[in-house]
Amino acid sequence: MSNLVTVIGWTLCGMLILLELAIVSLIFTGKIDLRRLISEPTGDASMSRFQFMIFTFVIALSLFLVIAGHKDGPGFPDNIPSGIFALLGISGSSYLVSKGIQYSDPEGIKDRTRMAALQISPATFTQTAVGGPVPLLTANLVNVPAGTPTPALTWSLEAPAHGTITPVPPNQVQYTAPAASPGAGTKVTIRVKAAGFEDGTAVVTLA
Amino acid sequence: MHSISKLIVIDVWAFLGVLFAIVALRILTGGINIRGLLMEKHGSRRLSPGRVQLLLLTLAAAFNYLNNVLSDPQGGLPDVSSTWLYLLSGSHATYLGGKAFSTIMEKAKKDKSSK
Repeated sequence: MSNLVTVIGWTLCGMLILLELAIVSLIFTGKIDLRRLISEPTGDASMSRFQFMIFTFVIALSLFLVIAGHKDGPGFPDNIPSGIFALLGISGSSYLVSKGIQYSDPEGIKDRTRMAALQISPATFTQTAVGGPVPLLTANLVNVPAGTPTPALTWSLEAPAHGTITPVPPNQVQYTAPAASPGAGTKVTIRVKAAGFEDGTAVVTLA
Repeated sequence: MHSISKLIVIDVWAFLGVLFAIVALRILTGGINIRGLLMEKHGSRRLSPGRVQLLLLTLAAAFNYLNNVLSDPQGGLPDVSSTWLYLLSGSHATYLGGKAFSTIMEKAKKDKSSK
């Protein structure tokens, strides 16, 4: 019986580790997008979401510290003080009320058009022949005041990364298709990032 | 079983540490949007005292509680003192009251100008 318990324990441990690795990898690759973690639909950061996030992290970390620091090995605390529930109640209620106030005004939930963003032009391009030219791609700033300087841009090819990119400062990139086509119709996505801006993407369809 | 629980403790430590580091780094580098966090959402978009006081009190309460836990992790979860609960309640009420007031005033202004 104890062997079975041990096997189950190791299996669950392995699954937990895999799940955590998956979550971290999805965050790093951008599939779990944290940019709007504490943003309202309008694009501005929300104080009620921020404080909710802070207290959630603090209570979760505290609980884990107590579980890990338990005498005679990890163990759940004997009791959870009512003050903790009150604290989470205040934080959560404040978040809910804030959302209610925001949603009471249509302006509070209008489209996210105020978010500063990068836009690549052209957004799509189809190669007419293998080895054919691809125009320079230009990153433009949108939803920003006139005269906003171009920020430092980071260009990247998304997987599967066919071809190469060569940045042309300040805001352009030259995409070079692979000499041997991976297949007609293969789509290659080029992404541009800058701190404080929504990413811009362009898709090149290879011949 | 002892080695499993040790491994899980180390693993969760690492995971939480990585998560906190990612969130903190992205907040500092702009990867998580914090634009307008302390600004009024209506009208002149100037600095909002209600948001500033809520931020300061939130950070103070969070650090205070974490400090209490770290000083004696084997003592169980410490309670949150009623003083802090009253302070936080007042802070949130101030913030929400200001938010509701500015939303109502903005709505009234728009209704007036549309007539």
